[in-house]
Parts: sequence; C-alpha cells; structure tokens
Amino acid sequence: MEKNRNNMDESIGFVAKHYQKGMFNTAKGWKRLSASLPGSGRPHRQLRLSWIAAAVMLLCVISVSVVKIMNRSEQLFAQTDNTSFTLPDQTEIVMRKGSVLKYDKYFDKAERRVSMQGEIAFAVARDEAKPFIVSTPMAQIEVLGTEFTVTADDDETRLSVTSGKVLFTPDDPVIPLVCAAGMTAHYIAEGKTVRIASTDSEMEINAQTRSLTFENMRLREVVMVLSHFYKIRIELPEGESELTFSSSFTQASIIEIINIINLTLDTHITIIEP
Amino acid sequence: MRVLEKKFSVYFHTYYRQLCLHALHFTGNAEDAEDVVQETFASLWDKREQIESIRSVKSYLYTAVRNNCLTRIRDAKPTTSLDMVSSYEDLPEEDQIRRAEMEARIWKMIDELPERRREIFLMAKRDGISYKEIAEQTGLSVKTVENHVFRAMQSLRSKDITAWLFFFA
Repeated sequence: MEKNRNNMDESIGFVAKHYQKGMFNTAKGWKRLSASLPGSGRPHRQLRLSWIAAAVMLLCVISVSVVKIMNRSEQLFAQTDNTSFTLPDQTEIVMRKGSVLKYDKYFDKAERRVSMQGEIAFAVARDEAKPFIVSTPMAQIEVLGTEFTVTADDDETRLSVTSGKVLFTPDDPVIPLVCAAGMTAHYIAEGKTVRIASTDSEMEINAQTRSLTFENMRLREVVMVLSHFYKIRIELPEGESELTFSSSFTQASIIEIINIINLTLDTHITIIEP
Repeated sequence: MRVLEKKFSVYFHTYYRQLCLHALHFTGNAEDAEDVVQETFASLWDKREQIESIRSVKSYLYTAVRNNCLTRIRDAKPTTSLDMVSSYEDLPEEDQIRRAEMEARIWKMIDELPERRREIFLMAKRDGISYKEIAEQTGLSVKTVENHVFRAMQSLRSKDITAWLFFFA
C-alpha cells in the first residue's frame, strides 16, 4: 500500500504539473472530433463513460479513535479528526476535525432532525417510524436507515452512501434523489448543479444552464428526474423501467427528450398533461 | 453502420481522457497530447469498418497513441525531456494503462475541486509557489493555504485509494 501511495502522489504531481482547466474534457473532445470528421457520417451523439465504473467515489471514514467532544447542550464540535459519538437514538457518527453537528437532545419528535457543517459519517439506527433528516446549508438528506458520509459547507454538499438508501434533495433544483449504497451525490449551490454517480452510471442536472446529462441511467430514474425538472407527469410502462439511457440535453423541451428516448430505446413513454 | 458509430462513440467516451494522459507522458505538453489523441480517433473513424476485427480496441488505441506521439516527438525534437519519457516508457503496457487510468481520474477530480481550492492547489503543486507566497498573493493565512492544499491532496487520494482497492478486490 505504501508503494501505491507513492505512485499515487507521483501521479498527482504529474497531473497537477500539466493540468489546464477545460482540457482533456471528453465532451469537448467529442465535439471537436465530430466537427473535424467528414460531414457524411458523423458519429452519432451518445454519452457513455463506462470507465466511471472504475472510479467509484466512496469517501470512507474507517478508523474510530480519540473521542474529544465539546458538548454544548445539543451542539457537537469535533476538535480532532475521527471524533466519534453516539446520538441518543444510538446512531453513530464519526466527525472530521472542525465539523459541527446540531441535534435534538431527546429525538422525541416525529422525525430525528440534525443539521451540520463539515464532514461527518453516519451509521443511522433503524427506526422506520422516525425518519432521520440531515440538513446542510444548501440541501436536505433524508435517511431511509443506513450508513453514509456528508461533507458540507455554505456552497457545496457531498454525500456518499455506504449502505442502505438515502434521499438527497438540493434546494435548487428541488429534485428528491434516491441514492443507494456505492452512490455519491455532489451539489454545488452556486452553479445549481447536482451530480449523482454510481459505479456504472452518472447523471448531472444543471438548473442554471438547464442541461441534463445521463450516462447509463435506468429509465425509472431518468423519468423521475424529468418529471421533477419539467414539473410534469410522465408515464413509463413498467416493463421498460429497467432499460438504461445515455445522452445529454441543453435547454431541450420535454417533448423532444421523450421523443429521443422513445426513438432510441423503442419505448412507450408518454406525457400526461398536468 | 449505426452500430459501428455507436461502438466508436463508446470507445471514444470510455478512453478519451486516459489516452490524453497516456499521450502526455510522451509529449510533455497537454495541447500536443490532446492533438495526438484526436488524430488517433480520427484515423480509427476512417477504419471503423474494421473495428470488429481489432481484438482489443483498448490495447490498439494505447499503442497507436504511443506510436503517434513518438513520431511527433521525432519530428519536432526539442521541448520534451527524455528522462520523463523513459521512466514511463519502460513500464509494461498494462502498468502504463493502469497509471493513465488513475491519472485520468485525478485529472477529473481536479476539475471537480471547489474553485478556490483548485487555484491554491495548482499554485502550490503546478507552479511550485511556496505557501507563504500564496498566502501573500491571495490574502489568506498560511494556515488556510496549507489546509486547502492538504484537503485537495486528501480528496484526490481518498477517492483513488478506493479505486486501488478495486484492483485488488
């Protein structure tokens, strides 16, 4: 592992030395190539980055060490890395240095609500009757019983799910996104961009430029996102919900998008007028 | 025809960035690296009818990019330091591929760093500016600069550690 670490640092150094923003960008490269090829048979437009499969983005907080917590009533502040703590409902958390968590001391309400800033890993105690909700400055995460890590400051929220399922809802665009084990969500408030990635699929929703990118996403999720994004009801035949779709749209109309999906996958998705 | 175009698109989207990093090891220059990869894909496009007969398209692309880079370096001798080329050149192909894949992920992760953190990280690691000087230029404290660089390194590494674990899983 030590050798890997050295290789990795060498690679980080190499990449940093040559890094230029906007270069080695697959989407841009594809545009450039498409433009340079003879017009007759341009490559057809499809995004599919299966190498993402290898780049699973899991933030693992493994070790639990010194417990050093300043307990100001219901606020926890981690003075050292890997500060661990057990909440009244038996939910276990591990906090990175400088992280802050506010919680209800008794958790006696209908929901277990906490708010946070910094980076915290949660192993939430199962209680179907009381959902566990994490608020960050810019997004809400509702837990459906599970283990996950949240990193949050005023502009960005990152979520990585280790086990179970988590409902992630950014403030804008307001789209409730179910993230399962192995998935990560990254929300940048300023750019109104949310990106969800799993081992073999990825999608990006940008409310500012009104663009959507799907890579290998299941239709079930694509349709769910579209219906929230366009505030419209869409019907997807049951048997087609597991098909996967890859493409990218900017300022496209919902009708256009549905047509493209139906054409490429031979599906029967329909819009139900609101 | 349609199927071939689709396949071509998949290869492009799958290997583009890692091939750029592969090329970068030979050219030592990002613009040249990207040009070579573009040219390589353009020539694969011309041969798309034969894609089916290539046993490993990935291996074919890595070799083609390497050869095209070497031709380019030979044609325009200076600018590239030979040291850099040789250490990477000496690796067996599978190690080159693994490394290019890892570096492609690192490149993408630098893309995804928060703007401020990326700037400071690059000042330190690309431009070799000392923390003290960065602090002076940006008006931040040395401690904050240190923290940004540390966190950036941490996020580039942490994601990659899991990628490495995958290799051994």
